[in-house]
Amino acid sequence: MKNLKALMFSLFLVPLVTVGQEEEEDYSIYDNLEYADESSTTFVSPKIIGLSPNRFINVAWDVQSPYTMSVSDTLGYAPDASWSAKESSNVSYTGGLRVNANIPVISRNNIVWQMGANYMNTNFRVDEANGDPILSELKRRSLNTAGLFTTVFKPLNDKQFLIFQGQADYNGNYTFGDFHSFGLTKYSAAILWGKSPHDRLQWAIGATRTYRVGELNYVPIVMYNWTSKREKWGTEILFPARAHGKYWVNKSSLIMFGYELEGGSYNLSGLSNNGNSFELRRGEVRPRIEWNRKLVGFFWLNAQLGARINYGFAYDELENGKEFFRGFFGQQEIEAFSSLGTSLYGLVGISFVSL
Amino acid sequence: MKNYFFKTQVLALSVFILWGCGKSEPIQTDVQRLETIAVGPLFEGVNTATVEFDIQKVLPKEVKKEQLSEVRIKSIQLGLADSAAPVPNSFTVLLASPNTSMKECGFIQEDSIKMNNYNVSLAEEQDFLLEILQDKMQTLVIDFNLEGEYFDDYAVTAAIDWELKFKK
Amino acid sequence: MKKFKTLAIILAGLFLFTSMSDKTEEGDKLIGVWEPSNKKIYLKIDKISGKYYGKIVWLREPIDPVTGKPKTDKNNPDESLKNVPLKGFRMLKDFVYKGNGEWADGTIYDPQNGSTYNCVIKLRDDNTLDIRGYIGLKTFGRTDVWKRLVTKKKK
Repeated sequence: MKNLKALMFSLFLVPLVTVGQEEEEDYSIYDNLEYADESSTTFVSPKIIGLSPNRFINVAWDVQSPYTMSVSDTLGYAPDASWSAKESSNVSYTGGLRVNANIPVISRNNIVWQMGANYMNTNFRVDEANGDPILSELKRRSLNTAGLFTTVFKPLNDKQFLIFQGQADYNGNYTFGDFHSFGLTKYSAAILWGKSPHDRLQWAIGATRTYRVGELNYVPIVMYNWTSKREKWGTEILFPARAHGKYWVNKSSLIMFGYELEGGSYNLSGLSNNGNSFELRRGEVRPRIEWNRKLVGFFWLNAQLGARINYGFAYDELENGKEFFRGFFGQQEIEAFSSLGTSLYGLVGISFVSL
Repeated sequence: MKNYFFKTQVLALSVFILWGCGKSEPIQTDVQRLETIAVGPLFEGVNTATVEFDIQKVLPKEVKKEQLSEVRIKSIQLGLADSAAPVPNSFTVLLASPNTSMKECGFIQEDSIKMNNYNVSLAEEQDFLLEILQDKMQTLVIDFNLEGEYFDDYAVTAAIDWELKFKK
Repeated sequence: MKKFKTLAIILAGLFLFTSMSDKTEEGDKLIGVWEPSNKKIYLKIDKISGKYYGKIVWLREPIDPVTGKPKTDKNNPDESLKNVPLKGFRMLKDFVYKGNGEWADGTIYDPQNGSTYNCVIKLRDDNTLDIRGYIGLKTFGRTDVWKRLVTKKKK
């Protein structure tokens, strides 16, 4: 038994006896180091210092103050034609829920790929439709947007990068028991090439296919994200979609000021007949002030206050649901027009973010 | 009637005992002196000296560390065990334990060291200390920045003045 | 029979001890100086009381361009720790070796925004690490590649 104990004890002692290495080592400053094998490649980061929080998940509620909506009749108009209102109504409430999720699929130093989904509901409380078909249709059901999108950030080296974004939006006044054709889904995309000369600046140029102001368009885009040396002031611009100045009050509080374009093309099911799609081409400009505030951990509050200025609220009838490109210079007929008075808007949301 | 008063007294006594149990009492302890060691030879730049200890050894016999209810560090005074050893540019003091996260307790900047002030600027938030001290053992970690290499072991002393309270 | 039992106990103990030593040796492969892919800092990872910690030992740009002084942890959520020098700052904390070249249960701190993230480290090879910082779920995170640095040998 004694021998057994001695044997066990000696076994435990074995690793404590180490053989010291005799080679000479240089214990001077850390400047004098070399790679054990080869260095890694440095890739430009998708973020700059002082960028606003990246929202993984966001839930918000948007609401507008009352305004007057006027509609023309549905006789068909040239794009630049003048028109007169056939019917008007006060819209006492406009707003609804917005949910957005943007989840990394691959997130490494040499590529970032994110996929996301968003849902937006806009309810128009039209007070007096007076039998007008368009006002009645907007009063009947709210507008929904359900979208899927993907974004790829591909660094080319330590300064240059590419961004690709693709999006599919299913827009209309459908309900979850009454969907319109999925063939009416709208597709958008953007591609940019950019540079990040230092860790407080990134800029890029590119082009986009977009429905952002209601109807299909192809426009150039410019990105310019910059933060000052003191990490207080800066800009976050993706022109023409949005442009903001920003000010970091402290690391838990960020104020942004600028504007964003919103919009889309929505199928109005009650006015769509014979296989055609009667579509609302809605676009608006929202100048605003935005406050982002850390609540706890990685949950932030987002509050916006601004104006909703109507950019476009016209209607097209798509034959057999087939989209067409009018752009800035096309002369295809517009089915009807609406005008919306400017209103104030507010939005409050909570986001799960990464800095 | 008698029964009613008796029950009331028992209730009052229970409340008093429970209230007494919930009340924290201060513990009188001496300043704890620890010596951390960084085993040489050391690089120029940032190096680390550590020592493991158990706060139980500082507490009175009748107090178990699990009874600690409030912990604060009033002050930490650092020193060099060997007066001939090179003086660092800065110190950072941290505490760790097996089942908690390592946390910064404070630091000493270059300006203070130049003025021979080795009093640690302490962190405002010290809530983490309770969990660390209630763990089975603690490790004091001192990171220090040397201007040149040093070929011997390097010892940094720490005199920690604790403010401790416990619940019976 | 008794002798057989004794031998079995010895062999079992030897096996257990060897595997524990192997695990410690494997875990210690994390120890050393490492460079993230942005090449802005060097981190030295060491072992304290059985867990692994990493501190900044070198910065490519050690001076703050605004203050002209050595960089400090100016974005620390605790105001009283905003002047802690970045050189020497413990960015990686509390890692435990889990086997199969993986260290977990630790955190990584980003001095650029004062945020602490959960973190997992994987050894891709003896000189390459995959460091993934994340929030809550590993999905909400980003992986960086770190390379080992060694001291130049005197000729």
